[in-house]
Amino acid sequence: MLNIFSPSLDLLSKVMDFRSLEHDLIAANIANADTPGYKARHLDFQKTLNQIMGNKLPLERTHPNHLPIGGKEEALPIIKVKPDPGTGLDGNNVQLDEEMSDLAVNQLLYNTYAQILARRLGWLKDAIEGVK
Amino acid sequence: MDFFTAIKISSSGLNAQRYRLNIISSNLANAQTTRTPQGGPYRRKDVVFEAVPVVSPFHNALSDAVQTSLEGVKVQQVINDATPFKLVYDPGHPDADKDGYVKMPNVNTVEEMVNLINATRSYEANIAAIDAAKNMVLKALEIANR
Repeated sequence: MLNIFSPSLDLLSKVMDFRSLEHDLIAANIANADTPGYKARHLDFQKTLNQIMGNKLPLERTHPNHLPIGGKEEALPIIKVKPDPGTGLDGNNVQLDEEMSDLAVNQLLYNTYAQILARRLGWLKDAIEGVK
Repeated sequence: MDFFTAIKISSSGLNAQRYRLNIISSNLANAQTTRTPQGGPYRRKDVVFEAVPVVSPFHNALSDAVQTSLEGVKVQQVINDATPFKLVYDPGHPDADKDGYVKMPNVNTVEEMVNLINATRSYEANIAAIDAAKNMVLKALEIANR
């Protein structure tokens, strides 16, 4: 059964948010590929998503003024800094080719989630209008 | 956490790399210059990049951790290369000393060409990041077309 407020729609848009943040981070890494001492940063998807998935089951609320526990709590993005010292002498550990492939992967995943989200919403529309 | 921030960061990268290209061009153009307003031959110049935080219009909505992690780049300073000048034996040169040696700029053309390629590649990488951001925005807009 498809639920209009299904958590998967919410999750999809949240994951798209995180992918867009990851794009910002990759863009910053690329811009600073020649900055002495700069360390590459990425979003830690595993930890960030665990935050959301960890409190997946919301506590039942019997009154609208009750505080929500679990469920749609805002998940804060967790950022990890690449630890290795890098190959250069200037303390920069950005690998441009690695960042470029991350950029491509991130873009493809974002587009995939956008496509799935659009398809889901299309199904809802079909259900509302009736399939011709 | 928006694509305009990403484009802002990438364009700071474009700016910095273009500045670096200008400096490299200046080094190459002056590889044989023996007279400068400061006196003496041309001294090779180099740029120092610095990471600077970008201020996003939505920065209040972002956590501190994210805000401090998003950094653009800028040219912090242009430094003079302290490598000694090359001495070339050329007694016919008007700037030759009494022993016939001319002080030539400390510019190594091969090194500059390598830096030139490097800067061009970095510039292209930033362009690719902007292209990706544009594509992602367009893809997100398609959701509304359903």
